[in-house]
Amino acid sequence: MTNENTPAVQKCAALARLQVEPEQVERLAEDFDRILDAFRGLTELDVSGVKPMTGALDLQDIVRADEPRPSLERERLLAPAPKVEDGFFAVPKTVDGDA
Amino acid sequence: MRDAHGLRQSILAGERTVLDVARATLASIDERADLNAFLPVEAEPILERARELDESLARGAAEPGALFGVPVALKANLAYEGRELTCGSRILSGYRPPYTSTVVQRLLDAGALPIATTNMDEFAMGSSGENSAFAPTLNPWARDYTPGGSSSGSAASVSAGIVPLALGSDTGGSVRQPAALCGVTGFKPTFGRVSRYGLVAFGSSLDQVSPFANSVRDAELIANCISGADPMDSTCLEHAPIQPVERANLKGLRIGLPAEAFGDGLDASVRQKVEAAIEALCELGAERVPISLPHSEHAVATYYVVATAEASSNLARFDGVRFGARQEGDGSLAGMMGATRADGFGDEVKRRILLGTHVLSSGYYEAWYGRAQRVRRLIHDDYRRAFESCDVVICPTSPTPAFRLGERKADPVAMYLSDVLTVPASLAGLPALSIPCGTVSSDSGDANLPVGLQWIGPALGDESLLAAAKAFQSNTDFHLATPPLRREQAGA
Repeated sequence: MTNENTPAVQKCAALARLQVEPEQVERLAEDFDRILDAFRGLTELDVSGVKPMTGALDLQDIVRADEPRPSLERERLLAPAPKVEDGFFAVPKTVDGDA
Repeated sequence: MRDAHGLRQSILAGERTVLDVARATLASIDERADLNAFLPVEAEPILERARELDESLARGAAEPGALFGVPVALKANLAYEGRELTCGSRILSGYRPPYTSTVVQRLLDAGALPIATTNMDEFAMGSSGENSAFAPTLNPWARDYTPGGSSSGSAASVSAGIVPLALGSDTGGSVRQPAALCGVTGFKPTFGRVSRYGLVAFGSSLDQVSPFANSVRDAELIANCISGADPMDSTCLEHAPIQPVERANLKGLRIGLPAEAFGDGLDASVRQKVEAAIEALCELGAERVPISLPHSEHAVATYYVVATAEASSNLARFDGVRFGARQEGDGSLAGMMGATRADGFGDEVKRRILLGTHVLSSGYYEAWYGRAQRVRRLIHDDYRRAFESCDVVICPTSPTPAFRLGERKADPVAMYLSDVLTVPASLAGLPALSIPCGTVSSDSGDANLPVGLQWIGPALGDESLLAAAKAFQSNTDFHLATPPLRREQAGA
């Protein structure tokens, strides 16, 4: 029997660019069941009028002078990349047609 | 090597060279390879750094830094230029960052000897060290038990006496919980007091670089070196570095005891040790204040919604384009990314990315993520109210002592509940530390396992929190207990 969370897992896997094998989908859907069930209390709490807390700090804008300074050289930044061409990160072709 | 202050003094007094210290540390890493505390360590750059430090001392070049010659182990999510940085994940196998994190740069500036890198739960996701893609770290007190996580290797390396200091990262307790389970001191500063430039991000509203040591005094020493404003991290506060403050005694310290942290889920032996430590605090002049943190029962759920949401976004950068391994998949761009991530991430990381994507997705956002942000404020406000009547909140760090390897690995909910006592302070951004308060016998009687006492202070109260904990340690000897020697050694 397909778990009710199976479509959610499949949808999230596509959104998260994560290939998931069919047998993993079922297992992950069961995990979703258990985890979301354990977290259910959160959905039952009265939070009306409570302002969302988006971070642990009340940050203030800090302005600094916009002055040029040295940055990492291109070669060093490209060095860890799996594939590089002509000084750029290389990825599979994304549009059809002649280059 | 357990005392950073003493080690530095002995080097400056000429009793040993930094090279001696470096060699001894490398030998000790090899000797305790059974613990899997370290990922492969490259010896030559460490020896070279040690020689440079010895030469600078001989030249009398400059005032020796506060950590001169002291080895500091680095969790595998802190960038140190040229050193492999895996985050405990296969997706970053072979990745050598082209730059150095601010905290590691500050260690270098203070004359330290950074040791890269320690084992960890993959991308800091885990509470046992078992989610490392390489090997589980073992607890130096009993090798059938986990050291806690996610900073498993950093905790174990300090506990085993391999290094006197280590850095980890604490998102929901990833330094305090393994410190408790390994019998060492772990200190999470107020969110924002330590730069995160060069820390691989997991949950950006929670992550904080945090040290391990064998005493609060040593934790304070390294915290002083790594904290303070950083133009490279816009979430780092403009405050001055954490300064050492002394407190003569604990007279009049009001210790808040949250009823919720001493409930049914607390292991009886842990309760007994923590209550004995509270008794010791009171004998030293502290005063008990009963408090309530009514929303803490929702802290685990709130934390796992917020942290997974942030992780799903932060980990999008591991897509086979700019660093790490790549799998070609079906040859398309999306196929390459999907295959790279499927191959490179372990089960728990995948589970959290998917859960985080779910709680942020259209139709579920408000029910889960939006709600968790609101409950986070309620948890934060509970502490604000509590600190009106007390100076420090005291509770256990972990509801149980170390658990057996494999015991919780198959059950994500049981593993998440390991964090029940550490996540509230993380959500509220508060400074918190864990110090040892004795050992208990394991259920089967085969091991003595450490218990951690957690101290939580008001925001930006790092200095007074450390001062009080130092005063406690100067009157007690819990922190001097060390794990038994390795069986083979003991028998030799």
